[in-house]
Amino acid sequence: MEGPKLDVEVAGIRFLNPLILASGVADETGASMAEAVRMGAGGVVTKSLSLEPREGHPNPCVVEFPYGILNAMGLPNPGVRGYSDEVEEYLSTTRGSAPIIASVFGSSIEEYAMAAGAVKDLGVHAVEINGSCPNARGLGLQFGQDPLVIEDLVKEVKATVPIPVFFKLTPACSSIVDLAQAAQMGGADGLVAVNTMPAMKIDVRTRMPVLTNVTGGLSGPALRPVGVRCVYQIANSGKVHLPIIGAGGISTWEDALEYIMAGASAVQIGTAVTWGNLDVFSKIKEGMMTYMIEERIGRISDMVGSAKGVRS
Amino acid sequence: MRAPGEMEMVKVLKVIKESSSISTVLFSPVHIGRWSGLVPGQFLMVWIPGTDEVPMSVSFLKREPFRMGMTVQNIGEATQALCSLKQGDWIGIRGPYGYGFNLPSNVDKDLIIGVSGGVGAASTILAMEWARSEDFRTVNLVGARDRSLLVFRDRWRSISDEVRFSTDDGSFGHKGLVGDLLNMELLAMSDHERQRTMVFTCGPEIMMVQVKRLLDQFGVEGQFSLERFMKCGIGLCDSCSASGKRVCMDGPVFSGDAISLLRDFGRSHRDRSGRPLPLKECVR
Ligand SMILES: Cc1cc2nc3c(=O)[nH]c(=O)nc-3n(C[C@H](O)[C@H](O)[C@H](O)COP(=O)(O)OP(=O)(O)OC[C@H]3O[C@@H](n4cnc5c(N)ncnc54)[C@H](O)[C@@H]3O)c2cc1C
Ligand SMILES: Cc1cc2nc3c(=O)[nH]c(=O)nc-3n(C[C@H](O)[C@H](O)[C@H](O)COP(=O)(O)O)c2cc1C
Ligand code: FES
Repeated sequence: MEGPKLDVEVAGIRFLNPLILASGVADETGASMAEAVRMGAGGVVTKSLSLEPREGHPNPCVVEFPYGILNAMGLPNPGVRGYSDEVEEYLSTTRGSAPIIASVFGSSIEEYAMAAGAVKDLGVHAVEINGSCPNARGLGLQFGQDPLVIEDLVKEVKATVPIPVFFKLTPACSSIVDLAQAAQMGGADGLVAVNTMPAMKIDVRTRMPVLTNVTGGLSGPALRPVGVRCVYQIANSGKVHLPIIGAGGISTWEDALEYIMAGASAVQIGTAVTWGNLDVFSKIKEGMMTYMIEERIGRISDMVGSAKGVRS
Repeated sequence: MRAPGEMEMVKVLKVIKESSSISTVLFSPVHIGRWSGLVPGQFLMVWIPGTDEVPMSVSFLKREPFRMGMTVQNIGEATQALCSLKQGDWIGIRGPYGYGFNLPSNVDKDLIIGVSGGVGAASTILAMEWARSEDFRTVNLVGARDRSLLVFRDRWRSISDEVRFSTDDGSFGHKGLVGDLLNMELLAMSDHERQRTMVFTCGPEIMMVQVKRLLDQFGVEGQFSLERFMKCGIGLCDSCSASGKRVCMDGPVFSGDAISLLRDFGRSHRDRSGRPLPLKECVR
């Protein structure tokens, strides 16, 4: 008998398994991203790229908690052009075994579209619009909290690139379904939920916020229940029919399955690779396989959105 | 050795001026258990409130009473602020991070040679003290641009079977490169002695490139402590990326074999935005 199958198709893109390296984590270089694939990732997302290089925020830009990480990297990146060698190295190393999604951002809708247009030429398989980074004033989050802006933004990017476009959502909103619906109206091919949650840390000795940027984004286990809720609400809204990639605090196979059962077709993993724990990918794959054998499930897609409450 | 590290605020106990531009900052953390297992060569992320957070090696570690210290060369805003700290000031430390030096088994090796360049000595000194306390013979070759940057002279003497100093300008010890001292040392050894030797090195990357070449030439094993731009220190942001490795976590200390695989070694660094820069622009 054949074993269970882990491959998935999301917005027309095939992944050998549903585990994707999240944007901004271990993806400064083509070699780093290729390493994630060697360690079992089914795909990768680049760090968020802008037209021009950005240094990001001065240190401290990371605070560790027992239950997660607070970061205010501030979208450092070498710019789309500066990053082209990295994509090239990734593509030549992985030889099509794992799709690469380019995350883009800008300080205006036009800039987003131009960045998307520029990454398309690098040979990536899809674009992910980062409309949800809490860490840079005037960039990201203020685009991602207003449904009207989201719709225009997605429309512009869609008009610029022929490849699938994902919109990455913030959990910091009063209605995640409204934001998801706006992305759908704009023509998005899929959603990513969620980005980090705005948060902060104050040192009581100096009475100072530790992050230079004052606030940052919370990721890791603390974020997981929020992310699962967001994915579930979108999938069960009856209004949004786009494939969803779940993200937020996934570090075990149970975590990944929670997202899938909430309605995600695939998941992204970021913070769990802290300390170089890239074996998180193979461990989750193994755990999923065992579960699927025990529960007699043939394909990942058989589980997507299978969680239903008494009152959903 | 890896340990997750929440930031711990510590009070500065004392600042010792080692020279006009180098100072050692001593402090005593409360969560001793977390720090006492520190392996020499591991590093801290040090928060200077209001200024910056920068990676620093641990140059001083003493039990009963528990004390830690770092030795800082003033080359910019953050290091200037560290050198200007006063007793009672608060700083935040996270760590210990990365892999430190790996002491070989006494069966395979009996001699450790420390090759230190400039403030790289802040990392090797603790490793060499450790080697000495584990009954290895120790030879220390210590170089700097000039006499004022040649720190820990007495401390080196007290932990070495043999110690030799060099300065680029000849103001103290041998005039020339510390690599020249290593060359002389290795030339004088038999093949058997070379096989029983391990080299620990930290310093400017150009210096370590020369050390690597000599070790390859003489067939001697070594471990190298690298520097790259660090933001998170915990393997997430990839700002310290070198040929696909994260220096904060796969290093900062790499074996000679691992170094051979890092194409970026001796060639390129990355700036704050992640753009590669040729090495010469980065070396201070
Ligand atoms: C693992 C490791 C251990 C180190 N140990 C020591 C030590 O024991 N003693 C010591 O004096 N120095 C040490 N350094 C170097 C020290 O971190 C830099 O000198 C310091 O960050 C400079 O900051 P600045 O603001 O004074 O200088 P700047 O003017 O900001 O920069 C001067 C130079 O320092 C580099 N630098 C600045 N910020 C960082 C950063 N966050 N990460 C890495 N490099 C940076 C810059 O790239 C530049 O080359 C170590 C570095 C690393 C990576
Ligand atoms: C250090 C760090 C940097 C990040 N950078 C980006 C980024 O550039 N763009 C983006 O869309 N998301 C970024 N994120 C968010 C992650 O992609 C992910 O959505 C979030 O961290 C939740 O997943 P996790 O808990 O598995 O990390 C970053 C997260 C971290 C921890
Ligand atoms: S400093 Fe962030 S990965 Fe090394």
